[in-house]
This record gives sequence, structure tokens and C-alpha cells, in this order.
Amino acid sequence: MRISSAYLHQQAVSGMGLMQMQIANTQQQLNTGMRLTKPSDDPSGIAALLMIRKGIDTNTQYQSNINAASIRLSLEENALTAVNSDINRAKELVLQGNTDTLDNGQRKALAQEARHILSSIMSLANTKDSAGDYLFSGSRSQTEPFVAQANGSVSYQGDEGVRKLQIGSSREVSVGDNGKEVFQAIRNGNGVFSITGNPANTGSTTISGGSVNGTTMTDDYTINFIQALPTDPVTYEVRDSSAALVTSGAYTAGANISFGGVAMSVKGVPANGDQIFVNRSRNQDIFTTLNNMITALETPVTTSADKAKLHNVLGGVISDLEQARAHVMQFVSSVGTRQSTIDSQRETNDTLILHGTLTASSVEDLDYAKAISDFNRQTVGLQAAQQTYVKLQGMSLFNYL
Amino acid sequence: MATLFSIGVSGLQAAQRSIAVTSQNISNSSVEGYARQRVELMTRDPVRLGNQFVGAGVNITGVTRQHDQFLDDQVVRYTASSNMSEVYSKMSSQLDELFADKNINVSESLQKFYDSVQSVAANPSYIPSRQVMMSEGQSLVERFQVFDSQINELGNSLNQSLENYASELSSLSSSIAQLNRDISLSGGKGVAFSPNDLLNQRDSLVRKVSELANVQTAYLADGSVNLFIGQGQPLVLGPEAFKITTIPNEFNASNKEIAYVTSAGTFKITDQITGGAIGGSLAFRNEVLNPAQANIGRIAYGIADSVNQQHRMGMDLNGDYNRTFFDFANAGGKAVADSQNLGNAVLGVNITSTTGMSAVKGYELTFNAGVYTLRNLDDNSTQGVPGFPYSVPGGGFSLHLTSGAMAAGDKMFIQPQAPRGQVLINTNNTGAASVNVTVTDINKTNGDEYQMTYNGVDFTLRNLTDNTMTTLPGTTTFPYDVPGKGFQIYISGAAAATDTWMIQPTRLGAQSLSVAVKEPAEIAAANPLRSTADVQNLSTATITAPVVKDIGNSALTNPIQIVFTGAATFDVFDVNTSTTVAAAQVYNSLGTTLRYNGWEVTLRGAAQTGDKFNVEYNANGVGDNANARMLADLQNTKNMDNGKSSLQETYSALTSEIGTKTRLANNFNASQVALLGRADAQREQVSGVNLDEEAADMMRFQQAYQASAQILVAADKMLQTLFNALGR
Repeated sequence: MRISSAYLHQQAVSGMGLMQMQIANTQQQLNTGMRLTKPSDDPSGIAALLMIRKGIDTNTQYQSNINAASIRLSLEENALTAVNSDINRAKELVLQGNTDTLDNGQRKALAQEARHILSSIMSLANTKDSAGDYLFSGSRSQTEPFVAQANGSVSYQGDEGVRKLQIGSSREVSVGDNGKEVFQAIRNGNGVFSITGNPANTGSTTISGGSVNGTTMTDDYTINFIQALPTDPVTYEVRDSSAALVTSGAYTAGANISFGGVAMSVKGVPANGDQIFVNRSRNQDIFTTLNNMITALETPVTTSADKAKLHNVLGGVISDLEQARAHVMQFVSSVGTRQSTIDSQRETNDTLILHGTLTASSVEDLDYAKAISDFNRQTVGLQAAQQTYVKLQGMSLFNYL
Repeated sequence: MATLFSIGVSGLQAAQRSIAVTSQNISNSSVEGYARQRVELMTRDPVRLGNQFVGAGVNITGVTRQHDQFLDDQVVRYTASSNMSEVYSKMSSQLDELFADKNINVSESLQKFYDSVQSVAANPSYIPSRQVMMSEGQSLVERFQVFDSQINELGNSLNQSLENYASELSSLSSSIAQLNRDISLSGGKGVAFSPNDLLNQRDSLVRKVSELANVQTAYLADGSVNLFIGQGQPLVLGPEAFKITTIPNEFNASNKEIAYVTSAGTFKITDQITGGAIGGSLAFRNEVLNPAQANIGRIAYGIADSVNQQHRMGMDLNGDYNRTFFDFANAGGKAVADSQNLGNAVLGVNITSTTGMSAVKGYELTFNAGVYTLRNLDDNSTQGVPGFPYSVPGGGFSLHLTSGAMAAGDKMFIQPQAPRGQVLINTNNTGAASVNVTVTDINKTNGDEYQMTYNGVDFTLRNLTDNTMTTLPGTTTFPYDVPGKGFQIYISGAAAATDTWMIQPTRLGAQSLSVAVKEPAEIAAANPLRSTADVQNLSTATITAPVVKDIGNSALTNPIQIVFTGAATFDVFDVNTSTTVAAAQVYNSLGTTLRYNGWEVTLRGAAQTGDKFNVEYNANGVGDNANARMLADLQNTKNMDNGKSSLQETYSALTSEIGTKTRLANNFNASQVALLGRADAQREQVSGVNLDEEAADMMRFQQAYQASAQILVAADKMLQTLFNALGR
């Protein structure tokens, strides 16, 4: 077989060129530390890699969302904890004021402190976050949520929006609660119904709590006390909101009166025409409760009817405050739960990022040991090719002529 | 004695000629395509002396070229295929590197954009976050444009090479024709006079032709060769050469086509050329470059359109809604039927003004009591629509009823900023028809491109990817929705038979994008509506946040109150007009969904009589991030390829496809190069020059020369001896 000299030469040169290309490729891998330098190096690998990188980046973004969420939630937790201790202090004041041993002046002093508590809760409810957004104004984050009106009541200017943030691929968390939920939507009374004496009552009846038989009441009721003549026995009748008679009977101090799923006892001496309202619980904001308390403490007590009224109102305030405290605590614990949720999500995301980084690295990163051994093998190969080429070129019959 | 001299001289001559040929071989040993030559010797006819024959020496019968036609043809064939694969693979590698380049590829920029949307969600009213989202949007747009212009750049250099290839082909053909003439004139028939070096030159030029394109050869008896390219178009016929040139593509003048010049005119033969550098370039353009650009465009449209659709649903810091985030240059329009429509009308929108639809927010078309009313959502002005088709005065568009009819109470949202397809008109068209293509559903598009032909009666749409045909009868009411492909075609004016158009639904995507939002406050992060439960409600029933279903509803933000008239019934009350608009709706405490004025809410939980819920405009809702979260969600939404892939997945798939094609091209090229190498080796075995062999030959012929010379010396000596003897 004839081997043409030009072909032999060309083959050797192109062989060396190919080896040099391989060496350049390996060297580029070693320089960049990457196994994949372009999509054609591993088309399916690069597609997977793009998705893995997206996963890493997205989870990193979730981590920064978590940081933002965490800051807002701890702000909220601090504010609500402070509100809770304010309410506790208010409760102590009511219990003090609800005794007969205090005179009007001492009660006024209590009312003074209650006013401070009111304004403290107001300012807590108007807390701003680091970006200058109000924490409790819902989506109207640039609108001051709670504003005192001329008549002393407090109105809510925010809305019911709740900001949510994505903290994981399928997990969103609320990073706040609106002021209406937290400070306004507080059920008064015992949560099912509230009992109030008619302010115009002249008797000295006081109401001692009440219990509920069912879970709901479906109507509002009025208890009317009737004593046509001072010598007559006192009777009572219970009418519903459409003035229909529900039940009636003779009044015995301390005995239970039951109707419409409620039972309650009334003490003291009612006057003819005295009324007690038993209404379904309605939402009453914390500020109204505090205002009621302040008004009652500031009202001078002279008669036994005044005294009964004071006890009745403050009794109501105590249960309203207890409702408010429980309500606020519910949000404190919900915020705590969310905090722990995002903490665990943070760990999950960290794991995902780590896992993604490892996977990406296994797809795109260079196995140095292998690359270096490849490089050595390739350089040895090239060297051998070069040496044989030189030898071969030297081998010519012409040398011997 | 005389014989001895003539024998010696013949030997000398033979040796001399052989050494000359050997040195020719040696000096041409590295000339590509050179075929080794050999001196053919033959013993001279003997002389009869008496009853004996005495040898008379040696004759040179010719100098032959060592070659095998089959092996030569094989080399020509493999040269064409390996050159084709080499050009294809080189060009794909360039595109491949574009996709690998971190500073150009779209993937990273896309991620940054979505990250910036998340930041807006975390701090909706914080202007710097919004600023970042705007500039990330801008840099995404720029990425697309850079990518697109790089693809165009590849296309331009491809066109430039095609021109070079064509002129090279022409000059090769005339050189070969000239050589053919010389060969046949030097009477290439007889072996003795074979013009070996001319033949060598010509064959290496044929090989050069095959580097450019597949070529068929036909060798003639007079030694000349005929060459044919494409499907039998003669390139060289004996001494006659034909010209190859480039002409502009009939649809797009900047694209070059290979053409064949005859006395009857210039004919496009692009589609018939395979193999060689030309075949490789053309295959790359059709198989890789064009689909890549169409798909990049599709992804750009996909991102912009999905972001726009969601962005419309949101409210910005100025309290405005129904605005886009991205703009398309030369955008189309589309009519979206309300999901509560009872009728089955399908409407089409055709943009008639070069500035597009005049209302930025679009229009709402309603049908009530037999009257169509069109409301401009920018300024709320209304006008009557007498019937279809209807060109909206000052609106910049016309409305067309494609099929069906509207029922009383039906609504259509006429949306601007629909992605527009590219329509290229054949320069040979004689009709006056104008064709518009609008992408109505990017989810259904797949990057296919089409050629549309009119035969005088019907339009036919040929899918250039799979060659399937769709016929649009001449009676079609336009706009015509191409079934399952996500775009519609509008044709107006009279087409002439044989008119053709190229339809590229997504080709313009990457270059037509821009960011519509001009200032950070215009980013729509909030829900335009809010729902509230009355604080005096007795029950704990809840209402979900309103979900906007029809942003084009003109009554969208009207305050509406839901009032419970019992535990299981509610009324819907319009606060503005103080009227009950829907009475005694049935309520189920497990969840009742109410759809009204283009929004939807769900109420849940045991309700009590007198409970009230409000749905109203989200005034001052600057802290709301509901829409920003929906925008961020788009990153994972499967809104491409008929709901099978997310945008990021579509981009990954495209990257992987380009990578695969490049890899296949590289592998194919390697195999073709190996085949060519083998064919070359086989040819070299026959035609190649081995220097050792030539050295040995040289020595052999040198010795033969010396020996022949010695014969002359011997003969001379013999003669001298004779002369000396006689001279005494």
C-alpha cells in the first residue's frame, strides 16, 4: 500500500491540531472552573442548569422577603405586647374604681391615668414601619389609621387589606393585620351577649354576669321591671326586639332569669320601669371601651342609683377589657406562629438553596482531578505526536543519497 | 554496432524521461489534488537479423496519470458534505455561544426582573423598589433587543457569504470551462498526449466547486467534464460556463437567494442547492437561525403579554388601573368576550391607524336592547355602533363580527397592545390586498411561520415547519382565527391570483418591546378594589378580596353593598344609585361566589340578618401588594406551549434546542470529516506521491541512465578497437 508523503504530513499535522484543540478546551475548563462553557457542551444539562439557577435565585429572593416579613412582624408583636400591658393596667384601674371606698376625686385620678392609657394605645395603633408605612392601616399604608374625633370617639381611616408576602414556592404569609381586625372587631360583653342597665334606671339593681346555654343568640332582649304600686311585688317581663313577650315572672333578688339561651342573675331593688338590655355581642373598639370607662369614673356618684349605675357600667367595662385583651393576645400569638412559620421556611429555603447550589455545581462545575489528569494525558499525547512527526519527517531516502 | 548505439540511446532517453517525471512528481508532491505520473515504457520491436531477432531498445509510449475515477468522485462527494456540515456547525456554534454569553442571554435578566417584582411586593409604596423594577424591565427589553440584533448580525454575515460563494462559483465555472477547452484542444483522447497537468488542475477546481455546493460530474470522451448543480442546472457544459449570482428574496430584500443566470432570465435555485458551504449556510438559516429568532420573539411576546395582562388588573400609586407595563411597537388589538356572555359572538379588531388604537385603556362594547354601545375607557365617552364591520371614528381601528351574535347584556373588552405578527409581501404581488396578523393568544403559538398563497378563489396557508396546509375559503369573514395557533389574519382589499405573503407571527417580538411605564408610581402593585365587612356585623361571616375578572368593565369601581336579608339570602345594593340591583340571592354558608360589575368575591360563614359587606374602589390603597404578588407569580405560571411550560422553561428549552442542534452538527461534521479523510486516503493510495518511492525510482532511473551510458561507452570502445585494428 502506498502512503503519499503529503498525506502523511497532513494527517500528522491535523492530528496535532485536534489534540491542541482538546488541550485548549481543557485549559478553558481549568481557567473558568466550569465544565459547561456553552449550551452544546451538554444541552440537557444546560436546560436543567437554567432551571436550577432560577430555583436558587427565587429562593434567595424569598429569603429577602422573609427578612422584610420578619421585621414587620416583630414590629407588630412589640406594639401588640405593649397594647396588652396597657389593657392590663386599665383593668387594674377599673377594679380599683369599682369599689365603694373611693371618693369622686380619687376616681377622677384613675380616669386621668385611663386617658394616658387611651392615648398610649392610640399611638401604638398608629405605629409606622421603617419604610414610613402605617402598620395597622391595611392597604392605605400612607393614611393614619386611627384619628380622634371631636366627640372623643376614635375612627378608623384604613381598610381591611392585609399585606401578604411570598416566602416559599407555595407559601404566603400575612405580614401584618389591619387596625380594624385588631382594635375594632372586638366583641363586647362576654362575646355572645352584653348586659347594660338603662342609664335612666332609678333602682339599685346590679347584674352579676350571666351564662349562655347555646353558642348563639338570635335576637336582642329587654328586661322590664314592673311594680305598679310600691306595695306590689316586683315582677319582670322579657321582650324581644319586636316587643313580643318572651317570658315573665316574679322578681327575686339573686335568682336566675333565663330566656333565649341565656341565664343571668339580678340583685338589688329595681324601681318600676327600670330596664336591663341583653343584646347580642357587637363589635366595640378598644377606644370606645376606654372612653366608657373614663366617662363612668368621671361621673360623680351621690345616690345609690348612681352607685348601681357605676357598678353596672364598670362591670361591663371589665368584661369588655377582658375581651379586648384576649382579642389582642390572639393576634400576638398569631404573629408568633407566623414568625415561627417563616423561621422554619427560612431553613427550608436555605436547604433548597444549598441543595440547588450543590446540584448546579455537580452539573456545571469542573472535576479538577479529572480535568488535570485529562490535561496531562492530552499533553503527553501531543508530545508523542510531535516527536513521532519529527522522527518521521527525518526519515527519507533522500538523506542517504 | 548501430543497434548497440540506438539501444543505448533509447535507454538513455527512457531513463532521462523517467527521471524528469520523477522530479515532476517530487516537486508537486505537496500540491493538492496532484495525481502522480508515470512513464510508460515498451520494448521496441526487434530487428530480424538472419534467422534471429535482436532487441532494438526501449520506446516511451506515454506519460500516464495515476488516478481512479471512482475514488476521485468519492472525494468530490464527501468534500461537499463535509464542507456543508462544517459551515453549519461553525454558524450554530456562534449562536450557541450567544446563548452561553452571560452578558447577552435573557435568562438572567428575566430572573432579575421577577426579583424586582418581589421587592415591590415586599414594599409596595417604596419608590426605590419601583424604580428598580422599571430599570430591570428596561434591561430585559434591551437584552431581547441585543439578542435579536446579534441574530440579525448572523443573518447579515450569512447573506454576505452567500454573495461571495455565488461569485466564487461563477469564477470557478469559467476557469473550468477554459480548462475544458484547453484539454479538448490538446486532444485529450490519446494516452500518449494526455494533458495530465491540465486534468489535474481541472479536477482540483471541481473539488473546489464541491466545497461550495453539491455538484454532479459527467466526463466526456474528449477529456472535458460537464458540471451540474442543484437539480440538474448545468454549471459547465464543455467549454461553456454558466453564471451564478444572488438576488434579493422576494419577501425580504435584505435576505439573499442563490440564482441561476440564463439568457432567458435569472431564476432562484436556493431551494435546490444542497451540500457545500452554500447548502450549509442555507440549512443553518432555515433550521436554526429563523426558528431561533421566531422563538426568541415568542418568548419576548410571552413575557410582555403576560405581564401586561396582569398589570392591567392592578392599580398604580396614582389610583389608575388597566394600563400596560410593556409596549409593543406597531401593536395590534383584540376583542375579549366577557366570561358571562350568553351570546357566542367572536369579534375581530383591525388596527387602521399607524399610531394604533387611540384609547390606551381600550374600549368596552355592550349590547343592550338591540343597541351596540362602544365606551372609550380613557375618557368614558360613548358612541353607538350601527353594525359590523364598523370603523371607529378617531379610534384608529375597525370592529368585525367574525362569527356568532351578541346576546342582550353581553360585553366585549376591546383591548389595545396585542402583539403583532410580521407579514412580508412578495414583491411580485399584483393585488392590492393588505394583510394584518395579530397574536391573540401567545400561549398557543409555537414559533411556526407560514406562507400564504391566493389562487384567485381561496387563500392557502402552508406551515413552513411541517408543510401542513390550511385553506381559508374566499368567503371567510376576516379576521380569521387560525385554529389552535393563537393568531388571527385580517385581509382587506382585493388579492390577485398567485399573490403570496410570508406570515411570521412572533418574529418581531424581541425587537418591538419597550417599557410603557414612565415613572415608578405607574407600576400597578395594588388591587383596584377592596372588600370590607361592616364593623357592626353580628355574624363572623367573611368576604374574600375582590378578584377582577373584567378590567374593561366601566362600572368596575362602583361601590356595591351586599346586605343580608336573612341567614340564607342577600341583596346586592348599588350605593351610587341607591337601588337594589339583585334581590334575594341565595346564600350558602359553605361559600357563595358573587360576580358583579366585572369582579368576583366569595362570602363564607354563618350570616345574620342585617350583616353588610362592601366592595368598592381601593382609594389610597398604596400599601396593597396583591397585584405585585400576582405579577411575581407569573414566573412560575405555565402560560406557554398550551399551558405546558413557564416562560423560563420555554427559554431553557430553546437554549437546550440550540445546544442540541449545535452538538449534532458538530458530531455530524466530525463524521463527515472522517469520511472525507478516508476517501482522501484511498485516493492518495492511488494518486499520491510517496517521496521514498520517488527516491528509489530516481536511483533506479539514474542507474539505468548510467548503465545505458556505459553501453554507449562500450560500443564506442568496441568501435575504437575496430578502428585501431584497421588503422595498422
